[in-house]
Amino acid sequence: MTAEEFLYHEAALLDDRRFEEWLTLFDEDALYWIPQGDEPDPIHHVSIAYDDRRRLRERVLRLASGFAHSQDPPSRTCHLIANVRTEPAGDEELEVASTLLVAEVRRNVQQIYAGHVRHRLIAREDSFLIRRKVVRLVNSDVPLGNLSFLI
Amino acid sequence: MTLSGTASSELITDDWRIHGSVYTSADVFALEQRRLFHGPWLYVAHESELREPGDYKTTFAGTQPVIVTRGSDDGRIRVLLNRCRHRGAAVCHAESGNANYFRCPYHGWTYRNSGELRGITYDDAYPELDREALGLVALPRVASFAGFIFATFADAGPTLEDYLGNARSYLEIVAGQGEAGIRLTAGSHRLAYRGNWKLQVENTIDNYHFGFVHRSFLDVLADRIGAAPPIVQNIMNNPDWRTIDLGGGHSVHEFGDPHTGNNQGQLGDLPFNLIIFPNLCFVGAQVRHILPKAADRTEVRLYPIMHEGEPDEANAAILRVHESFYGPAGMGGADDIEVAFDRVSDGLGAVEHDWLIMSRGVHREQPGENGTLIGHAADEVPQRAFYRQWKRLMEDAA
Repeated sequence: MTAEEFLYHEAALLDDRRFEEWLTLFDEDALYWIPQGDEPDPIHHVSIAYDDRRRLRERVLRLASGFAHSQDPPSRTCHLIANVRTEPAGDEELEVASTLLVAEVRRNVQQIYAGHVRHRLIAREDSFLIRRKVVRLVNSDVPLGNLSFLI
Repeated sequence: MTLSGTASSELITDDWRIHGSVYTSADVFALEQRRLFHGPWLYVAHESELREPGDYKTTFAGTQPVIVTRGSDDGRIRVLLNRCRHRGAAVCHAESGNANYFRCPYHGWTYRNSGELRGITYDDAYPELDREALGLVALPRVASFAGFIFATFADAGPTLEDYLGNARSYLEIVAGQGEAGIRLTAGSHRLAYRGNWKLQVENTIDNYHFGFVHRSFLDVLADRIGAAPPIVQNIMNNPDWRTIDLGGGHSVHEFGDPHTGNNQGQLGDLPFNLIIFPNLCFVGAQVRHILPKAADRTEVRLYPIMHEGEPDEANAAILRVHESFYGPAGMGGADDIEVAFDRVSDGLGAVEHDWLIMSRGVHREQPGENGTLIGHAADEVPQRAFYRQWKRLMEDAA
């Protein structure tokens, strides 16, 4: 599997709402980060999400609880990934930049989210593990509504 | 003044039913802007956002865009309408920054950051204009308490300290959260929803909803701590968790001792939730500023409270706890938007029987010191505190 194919695989799991399977794509030390604003600094500035693997697992747990009202009904999403560029980062890792467009439909309203994504991937057998996923939404600092689905 | 034929006194009954139009009527919204947001003291900024001469931030006083500035020459804080005196363009569109001057992008009129009109381009066409009177319009009174800056459109009236009344001691506790005070320097989460601004005020200090709206977060919390979370039991049964009508529309929900209490929900370590009438809230570890936009449109800014004099790791930990529950992707905040704002706004469309019930626990409110009223943690004491003041102001002669 190429890194590009891996990104498509991840997007398919999200669109199919196979979240527990999606979670297994992440390394134990993984970071899932949706910064807010132009100059993200998670130490001094609030983020939309800054999840370690434990917190990410809680998100998936919540969505599966049956009581996550903001995902009842769940968002239907379509993740479109483009402009994939890959560069080596150390012996076993790859840095993959892509652009992302997510159409989300929920309760009769369609929202569009777009962003620049960077994946840090670790090669594992014929696939990859995600060490870090950073989604820089172009609208991260405008007033947002319900962003409780997974990007 | 009547509101579409209904006197505002009739919108809230003596047995605490609230008419749906309180949340949906454009007439009520317009009257609120004249009575609630034009006279009472309004929160605009925290001093940590305006440390240096020339620092400014843009925000709103009610629906009106304002610039809060610290004068370059005198260090004085002013609140100026963000509107060029010439043809009305907003002179500043940045959220914050440092500037000695604001230059209108339309025709180049220039103002000092104290508001004074400094220059008119090609001014020979205005032989009669009184420049002295053409500064950016300043709100007549600005004052600060415990680092929180407020302004009012009223020339006269109570001082800020009198206005805050019984809420002052709680603001002082907030200001003392960090080793060396607090600062609001970590930016803010920004939320928007289609629904009335008062829904966010009510929800911020509503404990009755927690076990229902946040059931999924309670499941997460149970997994996190390996036991049933104590928060709901405390809300329903702990006599030391109390709601208090502080008077003046302000209210608090204490989690035990107001200095050392904790909500035990991993929501942030403020020892209480606090409402400063009409639109400033303290909850979790955040300052929450509610910005009314229209009867059915609201924006909310959540400013995480950073602790001065404490290491970066401690403040980053505050951010992580905040993000876990609050903000657009928070595991709690998104459910509040869905249920307390969106679903309520949907339901309020059924106007055939247009009344809500806000009487929970009214029979067991007990008088406390300084004119306060004390109730159980899950009672609607804070909501009634808000609407007592709302009604008082809305009924005042114009």
